[in-house]
Amino acid sequence: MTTLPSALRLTTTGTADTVRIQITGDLDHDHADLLLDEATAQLTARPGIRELRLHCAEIGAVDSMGLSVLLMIGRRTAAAGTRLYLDDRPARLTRLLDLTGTLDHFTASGM
Amino acid sequence: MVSTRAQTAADPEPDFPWGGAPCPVLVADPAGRVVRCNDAAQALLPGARPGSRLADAVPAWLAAAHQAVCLPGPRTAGEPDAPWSGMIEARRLRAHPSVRQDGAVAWWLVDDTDHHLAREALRTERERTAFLARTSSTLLSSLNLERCMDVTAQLAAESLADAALAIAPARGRRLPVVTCLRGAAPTSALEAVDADEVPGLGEALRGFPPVPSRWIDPAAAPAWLIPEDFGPVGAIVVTPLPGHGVPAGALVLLRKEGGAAFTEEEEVFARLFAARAGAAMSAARLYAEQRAITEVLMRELLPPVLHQITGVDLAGSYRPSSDHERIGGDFYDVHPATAAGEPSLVTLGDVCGKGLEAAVLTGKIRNTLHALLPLADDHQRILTLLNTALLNAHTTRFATLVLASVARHGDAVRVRLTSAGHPSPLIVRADGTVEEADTRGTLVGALPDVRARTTTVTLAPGESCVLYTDGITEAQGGPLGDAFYGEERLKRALAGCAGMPAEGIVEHVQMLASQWLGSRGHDDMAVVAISAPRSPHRDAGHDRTPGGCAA
Repeated sequence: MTTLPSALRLTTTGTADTVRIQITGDLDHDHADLLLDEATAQLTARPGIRELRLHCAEIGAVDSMGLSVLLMIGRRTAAAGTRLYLDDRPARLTRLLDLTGTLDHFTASGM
Repeated sequence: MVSTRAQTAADPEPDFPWGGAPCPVLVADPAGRVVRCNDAAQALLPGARPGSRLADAVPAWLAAAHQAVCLPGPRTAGEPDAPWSGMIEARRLRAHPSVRQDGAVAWWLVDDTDHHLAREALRTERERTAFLARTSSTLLSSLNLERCMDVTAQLAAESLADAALAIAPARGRRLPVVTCLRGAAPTSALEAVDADEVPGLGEALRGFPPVPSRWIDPAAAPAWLIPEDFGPVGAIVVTPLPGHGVPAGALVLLRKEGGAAFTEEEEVFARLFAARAGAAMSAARLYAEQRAITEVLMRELLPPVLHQITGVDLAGSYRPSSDHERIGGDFYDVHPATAAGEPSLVTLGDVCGKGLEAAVLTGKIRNTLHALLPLADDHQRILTLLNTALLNAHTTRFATLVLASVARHGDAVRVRLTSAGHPSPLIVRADGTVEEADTRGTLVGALPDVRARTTTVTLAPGESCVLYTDGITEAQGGPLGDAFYGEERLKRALAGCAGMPAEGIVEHVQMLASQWLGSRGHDDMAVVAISAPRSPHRDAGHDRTPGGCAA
């Protein structure tokens, strides 16, 4: 379990083949990199995990940098053969994914 | 005390036991004549013989001291650690008198040279420290390179030499040189000269350690190095001005002929000064370079001034982010049709991220779109090619944009719209209805494939199509300061804009967003309006070929 001292709080838990990162706070220009670092670290530390689940229920504002980081995590999970899930998305996040034409990309590779 | 020692000492001469004492002792009577000298005093003052006049035998300061001690008048017995001191030859001596019973005075001359030198050194050191502190505070308060060079030359000419030159690394084949004579104002010039003409200067400008001044022959100095009316040069010091990683320049110190040469200590001090001056000049130069880069980029990013093209009203407005580090996200462009009757391409977009990287990506997108103009009709193809051009393995920085191909058809304007992950354009109808253009697509630059659906809308005279970036809808403010301006408010505001010219709509939207923000910070905000003019169409091409559209 990791807790980062910032406006974005990430809580990582995991089972044998699943890593779950709970996102609390804004995924924006100033903080999105923290999520990318955490996800990358998990993928590197635990090669062969089947699922990376990002729990988004407590996610705040997601700006273009936040979306860019989600896309990068998507690219890295695909490369690692891990499936990425964006769980419990608030309507606002779904709308952003829909508007940018990326909803299919995230859901086709996952849910 | 002295007499006590004299009495107790087992000496062949009880009256003058100090014959062999290492400290010079001289006895003089009240009349000002030398009575006795010991060997040390004899060596120090060869003229002092018993019987000789004190005034002839010793320096004036000691004679005066003797007179003062012998003056009749109240005097505390045992007297004084009186501070009589002065130079004899190259030594500084402190004279301690002791008055004997017969009225004669024995002068003990104590060598004070080292103590004095230490005090002098301390004073010099303090002055230098104060000077260095002044140097730093004066120089670091300026981020202007020219001013830094002026101050460097001026300070150096005041405290280190008779004249000083601050020289920056060559710009092209010219050396920027600031010259300052002591007490005069600095003058700057660009000298078309070779730095290697001056021994040590080329090396200093390349950042090599300084050449000791004794190796530099003043006679070999080229004329440009020596200020007018300076006269013959006695000594030259060339010191590098070390910068942040790269040399910031060199400092040349000149002293006149006949003056003191540079001591090793002074050269070391000049280097300490140069370190501070170089740091300041280097910071100023980095700042100037950074500003120049930012200016060039920002100039590239400035959107064009829009006006009517081929019978269509266009207006655009771009309000850069209030946070200067975050500029660079939004852009819009208009590419007028190359032939009459063909559509013009209007683009508006938003690049992910802020600052320099976003600015660079924006430039790339605008250039790529420009190159793809021959395909302007096929939006899907443009987006696919643009996506391929932007995709790279390292980042998922993306852009969202709207493509609008605009052409006049009779009184109406036909707009083909494609959104690539961007908020849908809004259509303002003549009756105040606001419609969202039915277009959707994938953002470009992050995913291997992009798909987009194009829609065509027809604008009757007085109707408009509004393209905007999310800086508008995500302007945070309102009565409580935390609400987004939002799409619904924007639509309601546009409903009131029915029939307005393009420019009016753009101004109105920016004004409302600003009001919503109040004094709060914001991201880039861009709006473009495409309108079908109300006035009758006077396009020459259209008049000439009335049937052209149908053909």
